[in-house]
Amino acid sequence: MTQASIEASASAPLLEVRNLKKHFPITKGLFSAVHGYVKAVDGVSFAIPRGQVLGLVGESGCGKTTVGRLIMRLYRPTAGQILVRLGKDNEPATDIANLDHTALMPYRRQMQMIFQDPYTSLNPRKTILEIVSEPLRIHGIASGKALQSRVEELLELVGLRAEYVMRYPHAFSGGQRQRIGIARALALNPQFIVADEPVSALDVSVQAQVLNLMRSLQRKFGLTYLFISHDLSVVKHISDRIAVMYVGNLVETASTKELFVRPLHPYTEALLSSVPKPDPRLQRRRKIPQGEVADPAHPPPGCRFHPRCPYAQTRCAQEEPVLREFPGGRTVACHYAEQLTLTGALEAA
Amino acid sequence: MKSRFTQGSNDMPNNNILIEVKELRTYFYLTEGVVRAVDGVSFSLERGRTLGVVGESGCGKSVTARSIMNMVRKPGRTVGGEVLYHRRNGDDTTEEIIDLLKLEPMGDEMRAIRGGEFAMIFQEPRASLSPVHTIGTQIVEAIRLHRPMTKAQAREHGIEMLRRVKIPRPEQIIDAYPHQLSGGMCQRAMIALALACQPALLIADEPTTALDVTTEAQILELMRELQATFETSIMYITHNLAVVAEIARDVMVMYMGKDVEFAPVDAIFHEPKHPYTIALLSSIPRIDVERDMLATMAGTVPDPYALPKGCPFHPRCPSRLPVCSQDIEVPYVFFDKGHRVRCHLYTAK
Repeated sequence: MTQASIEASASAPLLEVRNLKKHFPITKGLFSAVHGYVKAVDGVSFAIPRGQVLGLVGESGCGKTTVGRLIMRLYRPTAGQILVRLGKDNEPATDIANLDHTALMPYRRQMQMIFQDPYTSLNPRKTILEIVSEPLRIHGIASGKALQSRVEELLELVGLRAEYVMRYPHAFSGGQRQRIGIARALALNPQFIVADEPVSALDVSVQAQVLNLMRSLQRKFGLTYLFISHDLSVVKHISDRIAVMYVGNLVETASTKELFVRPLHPYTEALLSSVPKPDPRLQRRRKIPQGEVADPAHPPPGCRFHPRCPYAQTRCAQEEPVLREFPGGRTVACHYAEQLTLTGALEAA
Repeated sequence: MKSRFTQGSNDMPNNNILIEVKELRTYFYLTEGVVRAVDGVSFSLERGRTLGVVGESGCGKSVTARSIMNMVRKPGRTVGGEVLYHRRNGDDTTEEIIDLLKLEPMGDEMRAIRGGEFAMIFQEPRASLSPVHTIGTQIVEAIRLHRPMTKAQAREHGIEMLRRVKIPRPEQIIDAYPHQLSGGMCQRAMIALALACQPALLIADEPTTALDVTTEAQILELMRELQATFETSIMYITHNLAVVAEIARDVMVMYMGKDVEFAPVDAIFHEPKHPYTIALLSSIPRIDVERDMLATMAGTVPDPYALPKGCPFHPRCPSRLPVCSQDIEVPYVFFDKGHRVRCHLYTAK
């Protein structure tokens, strides 16, 4: 995204990443000689206004999880900026891309993460009290009685009974565990949450409960989410805007409605068309992309989607498209976005 | 005698039945107690048709499939019911009916049926293929176990099968190891292996759950094409209702070991009768419909060791009657077109 579009949005964004990159070295041999890089994230830029939900979608290996972890600074970026504005809108943003552990602490308090697998993200040897209170103790917020009552309050907030505090994770179902993970993320009253596939491991009926919970908490506390998922129907349900990633790059960003009604990038169209629809009467006018996702260690030249794109021209194999702005605050990285008329998943209202 | 669990019109005997399952019960005897994983399930599957079996984790859908294959492992045991296989001879002139549950699970006859006449594919293709043998070795072995072919003939047939499942360069890929192929390619190889002996029945247990949506769409399309060519009956097990809408002609909905509803696919999605089916349908986030909050089911899936008496769904059911919690088997109620439901709401009418 360009500078102009960021400043065009009404209020200053809470989070903004600019040209974010993460290249993982591929090493070989006794001395771990580097002989290549997996360009997991290769120049991603987007912004999330305060109180909004940005859905980040893409297929496995596209780099969406790496983006989430970079923002949480679980990884150090190879290049780029991560601008966070935790105070008032008119205050300057801080670039946390290269801060060290101590300098990061105040930001970590405001930025929390919810993980995909509720079975591995909770320590089986700790009680729920210990798990949920850990962030409170690390940041020295509360202790003793106050700590326990805060944990009980958090459990009730996510729909669990307060008397569960002394139980261990094994006593809970997948959906309940994910609620515990959410309670832990909310413990410090954060402003921003990265949720990485938070409902992918859950059954349909439980998934609906957790999605509704995340949505009502977001409204109640005015939280800002980066919601990462491979599941377009889930992302559509919770997001204000959606960013689509393909092999380390963003290919399109738009408001949820616009993206589903009229995608502008052929990869978005392909994704929408691939999602099975729960109605046997719907006509199957499928445009399934052929072939497979490109290898991020050896991405194809030009547009990374061109080998699978039904509309590809010679230019697409030679010249890498940049993310360009379109009306309505949309951005698209396709040479032919103006010429193509693509099919969405929703009828225009 | 035609049973009421077969589809088709009532006057004509239905000669197209492949599998008839009657009151199947498969229990697991664990130290904590008995889990009635499948507890009285009846249905039939016609030649050349696809039956979708849906339900949440632990509802007994996979155990039903394993019971049909007569491969339930200890501590599980099929304690009741029949699985009648209507086996035709080569030129379709005569038909014999075999109760598979009466066969020795590891006996010659069952082993000839398993792999030769019935095949199965699983969720994790890489876990179902041997990592230390090439695709070719595994296909050749499977073919030669069931068909009188030389190694060279079986290899030729294997290459042809890989071509049928649209694996590029099958002459080379046949000598590849599973780790050299992507997840989608492995699942294609697994399908080639399963269909190599032209089975009458293919059981597919969540075959696309581990795959990306574009790959899933490719595999679903492939399975539809192959069914048209080979006239294989498919029993397609999944938790994903949208996938069922795309691939199945009939659908069986399971909840806690019971077949709560069975109907043609259109009726399941447009005239669902069981409160569980209705709740399941309204709890899925949809790509093609706008929804604010998702409908959720009250409560959670019951503890399998302590199932509620009567209808297992009654504690969560919004329409429950006093009779629902009484300790009686919920009767089947039959509607037209083979639609049937196990619910007291319809017995009075």
